[in-house]
Amino acid sequence: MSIKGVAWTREIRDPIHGFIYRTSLEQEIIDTPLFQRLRKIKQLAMASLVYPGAVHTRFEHSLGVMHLAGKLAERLNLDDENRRLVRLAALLHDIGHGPFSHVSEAIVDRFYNREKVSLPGNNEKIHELITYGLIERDLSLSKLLSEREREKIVGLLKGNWGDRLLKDIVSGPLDADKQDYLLRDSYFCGVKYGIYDSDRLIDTLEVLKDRDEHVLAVSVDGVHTLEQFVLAKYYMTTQVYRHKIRLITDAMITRAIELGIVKDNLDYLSRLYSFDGTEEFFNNWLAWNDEVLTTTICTDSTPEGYCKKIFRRLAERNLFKQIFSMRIGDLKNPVVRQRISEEFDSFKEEIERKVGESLEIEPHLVISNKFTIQSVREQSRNSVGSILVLRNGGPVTFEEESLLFRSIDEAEKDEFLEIYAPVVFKDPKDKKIRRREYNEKIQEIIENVVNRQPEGGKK
Amino acid sequence: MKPSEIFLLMLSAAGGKISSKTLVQKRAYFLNLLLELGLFYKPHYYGPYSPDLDAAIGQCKALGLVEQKTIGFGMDRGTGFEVRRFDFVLTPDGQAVLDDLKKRKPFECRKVLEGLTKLSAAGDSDYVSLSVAAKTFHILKESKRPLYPDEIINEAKQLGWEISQESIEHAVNFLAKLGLVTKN
Repeated sequence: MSIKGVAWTREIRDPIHGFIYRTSLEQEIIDTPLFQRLRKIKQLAMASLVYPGAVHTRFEHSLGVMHLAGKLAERLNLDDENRRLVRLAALLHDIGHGPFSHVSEAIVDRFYNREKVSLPGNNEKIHELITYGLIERDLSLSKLLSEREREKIVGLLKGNWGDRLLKDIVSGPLDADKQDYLLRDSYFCGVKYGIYDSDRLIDTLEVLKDRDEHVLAVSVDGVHTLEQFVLAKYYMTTQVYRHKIRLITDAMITRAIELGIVKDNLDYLSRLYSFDGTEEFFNNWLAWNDEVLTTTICTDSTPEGYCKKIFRRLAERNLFKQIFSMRIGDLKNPVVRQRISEEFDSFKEEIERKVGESLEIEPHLVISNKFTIQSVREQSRNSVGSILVLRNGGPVTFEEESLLFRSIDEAEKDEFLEIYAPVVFKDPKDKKIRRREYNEKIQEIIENVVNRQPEGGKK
Repeated sequence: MKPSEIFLLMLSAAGGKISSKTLVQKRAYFLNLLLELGLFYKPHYYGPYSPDLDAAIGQCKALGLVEQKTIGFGMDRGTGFEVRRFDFVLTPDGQAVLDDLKKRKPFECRKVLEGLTKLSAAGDSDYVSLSVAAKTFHILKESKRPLYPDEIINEAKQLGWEISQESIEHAVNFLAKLGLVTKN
């Protein structure tokens, strides 16, 4: 790879992109303890319990995103300084990930210190503040990047510094992050669902002037490649990211840590997840990864309790079972359907308690999980709208331009409600009979819980 | 109020059917301005657009509360695209959810329905006019000073929007009736 005016150091071999080149500054950042920590945070948490090869980490993903962001920047003719910043932002975009990647996000969102941290606006999430905070404060990084450079990188990730095009490269419907993780997760899971023609997609990217800013768009020649990319995202969601066992393991980790904080009073977990924006929090956060957390919880010094019990089950692959699964749209009563869809969080605890009591299972070990699979059409959008395709110099939305996606525009997103619990099925016949019993009982419980709570889950 | 509830109330106020997704978006845009409902709007390439509302429409369809009908009008010779319109119809299940909502949140529902009546009285039935009014309002808000119609048209051109003199007058009258702008 050659980019005029850029001095590369040695290359890194990557199974997805071949050689990944980096500058000496990027190499120094990669060598910091801050970045090296990502080697111990798996990209897909415990997905290796389903796909044994899925042991890849945020480390190689971040290198891949930097590499692709550089290719996008080159294709779009960004100037040297913007190209440099986009690559750095891509390299650091996941630096704040905690143990088990996305699983930690939900826990931080629940336990952050509300007195010291105010909820960020513009759809920002609490866990993103950890990434920004680390980039701004980490000592090893501050020796390599000036304060102004770090401010620009954080601004670029937030979308409040630089042209919108820069943000689109690191976070948008066509961003380098997705372009990397689809191929990488597919490769390491051993599936073919996430494969698309990466070189062709990048080759057909264009810049569109949208009012007073620039937007990443695709030329009309790239529509079929884009279809492939959007379908790859859809299939990876349905086949890998929402795989039944993966949902169960993520839910078990989350519940174990929540109970570890709330019921087992494990001080080290409270400190880890009570984000308060202080130096002490950030220093402590960096000491934890998948392995350290699992070992600490399972060690003798952690007292017996819910958390340890669940983590032991995970370590032995003695997983909870799915005892209920339903498309929310299939619930009989329309009011219950709508309120479960809209207000599930306020009914969740009550449903778990009632199910536990009814089936004689410890209620804290009953986990209800509502999740959404967006329609294949929605996969091509993000929160600000559709991907735009340049046709005869003017923009049209991807869904309008693609014959394939136009023909499936009636597709809707699906919401599901599942319940997991530590039950044992003797054999497939036993499973079938008991699942049928559970199904009837749980539907009745859901209906009763919703009908008893007139507003927002408050009696 | 949640975006899906606003959408269902809009359908209810319109007699159970709204023709055109753009009309839903633009009507909700002005309702949001009047009542500060907290809908997030992005000044999109095609004018103000709420991804939250779009997601809520999809959600209502997935839950069987609303039915979407696609009406085709043949090919547009200029673009080669089929011209289509999406009609949304409240289903009996949607009506049941609305009845329940009106019992649980009577005050909020009344407020939204009153806002919709005010929009209707100002003349909100045509999505093209509403679209121009939304763009006009956006330009006036951004300028932070009074503008003449010609200035609005020029400003719109800068943003890639084509607005005629006649439609500006209509839009300004609509905005004035809602108390969002004053005519000097």
